[in-house]
Amino acid sequence: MATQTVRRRSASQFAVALRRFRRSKAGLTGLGMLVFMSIVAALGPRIAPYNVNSNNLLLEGETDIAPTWLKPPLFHNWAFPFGTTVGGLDVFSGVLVSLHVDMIIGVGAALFAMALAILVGLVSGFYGRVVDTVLMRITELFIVFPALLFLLLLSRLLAGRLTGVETILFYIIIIGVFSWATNARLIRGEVLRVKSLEFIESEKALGASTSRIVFRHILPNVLAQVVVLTSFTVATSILTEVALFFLGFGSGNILSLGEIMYLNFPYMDVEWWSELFPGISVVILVLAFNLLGDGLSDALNPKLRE
Amino acid sequence: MPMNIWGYVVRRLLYIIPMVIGITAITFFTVFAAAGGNPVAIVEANDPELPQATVNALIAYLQLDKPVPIQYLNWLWNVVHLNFGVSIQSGRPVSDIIWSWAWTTVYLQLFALVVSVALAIPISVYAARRRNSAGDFVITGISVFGISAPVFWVGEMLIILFAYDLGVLPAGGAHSLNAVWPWSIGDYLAHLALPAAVIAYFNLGLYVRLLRSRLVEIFQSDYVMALRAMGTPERITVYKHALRNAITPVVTFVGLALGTSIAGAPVTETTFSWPGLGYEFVRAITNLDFPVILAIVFLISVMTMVSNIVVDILYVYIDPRVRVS
Repeated sequence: MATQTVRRRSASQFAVALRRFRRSKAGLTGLGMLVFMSIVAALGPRIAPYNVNSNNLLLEGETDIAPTWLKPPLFHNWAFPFGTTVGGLDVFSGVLVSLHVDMIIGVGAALFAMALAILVGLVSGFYGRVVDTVLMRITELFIVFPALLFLLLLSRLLAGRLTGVETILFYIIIIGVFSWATNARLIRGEVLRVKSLEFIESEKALGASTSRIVFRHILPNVLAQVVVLTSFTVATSILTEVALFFLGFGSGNILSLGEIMYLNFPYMDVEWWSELFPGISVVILVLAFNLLGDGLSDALNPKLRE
Repeated sequence: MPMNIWGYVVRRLLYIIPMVIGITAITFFTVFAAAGGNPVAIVEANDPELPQATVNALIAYLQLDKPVPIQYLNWLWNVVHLNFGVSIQSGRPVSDIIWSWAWTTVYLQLFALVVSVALAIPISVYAARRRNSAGDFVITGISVFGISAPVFWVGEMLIILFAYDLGVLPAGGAHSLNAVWPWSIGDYLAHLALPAAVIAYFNLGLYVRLLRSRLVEIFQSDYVMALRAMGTPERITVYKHALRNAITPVVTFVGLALGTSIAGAPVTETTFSWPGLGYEFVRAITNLDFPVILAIVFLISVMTMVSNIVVDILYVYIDPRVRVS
């Protein structure tokens, strides 16, 4: 026994993070919810039992505006587990189809915002001086910018002119453009911290190129922060998108959870289910990303020792 | 109190000016770009039965015969004189109606702020002291739910429950039609209850998460251990010593959250038909009432930034280590 070598590699950063993450209840719950919601969102449009095309929101042949076109909304009928709306929409199908769209817009906007944030944060933190001053002034402007007001204005002016795919891209871009600023500032701070560490100094003394220092050393070290921020940014992007649609600033050609809630908001005294179920779906989706962010933040935070 | 605080305040206030100019300029040029350089065409397309007099008034107001940058500067010049032009929707001067909207927004936000801060402190202390207990678990759960649920949806659920099912609170509006301030104070408070609760709940989630994690760290620190070893009463340890160190980052955060909350007013106010800046903004956007849109963007930007400054000043009062520079 004495001759047996103890093979024990020093744990990699990733292994440590993974071990910590496995012990984070919040993180695991979030991950589980996210996996479930991703599957539902991916399959949603295929498994939706009824057609939900915007044109079919009103049942066929009933185009007059008088209240007679209203279908009696249903609940307690297993053919429609989440009930139906006065407009004749099966809420369950609506939620399944919407989740698909909401997930794409939320994740897309967050990835776009994070790409901008990493770019601005890295450049600003690494180059400093005038570049830093200019970029940080722009960042500050975007931080104090009343983003929601501007998003409403843009949606009102442009959304109606777009096709379905264009609409999704449009919301990804406008939400992304107004979500990067705070993250850029945090990433810049992290870059400044890493940049002042001794190993960067020695790397410079050894004659490493700028791109090697940035991509080989600084980026991997700020990556932990980026991963955590991405998770939280997806959560806020989804909330923003749902709020825009809820206020009636969807384009009318794509169905979102917010759109369902907007269309049925006036009737919520007679059909609470058309607000409750889409809302709960949003909560689960957003909660998944927030909990995942909490778990990742604990797992990747080097200050918390085990 | 540092002597140079006033210099600092003035500098911060002056800093608002370029920011507001940037924000309103971007909004102004966006409106023009999206409208193909002619916002009146959009307004007319939106409402073909618009009286010619209104269209002419709008053209005169926007000075559409001049280049766009000149038009913007002209708008800015009028704003300096608190002249926001005439609302297309109602035909009244915007400066006549906007202040009552602003006040309605401000008192809702401030009320919600006070409630959420007052509740956040005892709740966070409770959770942090009984870390990982059932109570802590419930509190952190409710907090993360609060920041994950859309505020309008929480509002809808409360309306369905309290207004439609129980019928104890009004579903919307700031007061009843025949209510007279201050005699109908009960009526005003009843209308305030639900929207304030929704905003306070969202803020509470943010504050409790931050304050709790700060307090957990502080309760493990050496100085708290020393205080406990000396036999200092727990109440004094917690509220006099630990809380003081935990509260400072929360104060900054309150400023940011207040700004976010005011900027998010369109959502909360629309849910409750609360006649403030946010609700009127949504209406103005729907009707493309440009003077009102620009005026509200301007006011909300200023309010957001001023609330941040107020909080920064408070910060200096609370934490004597902070020096203004």
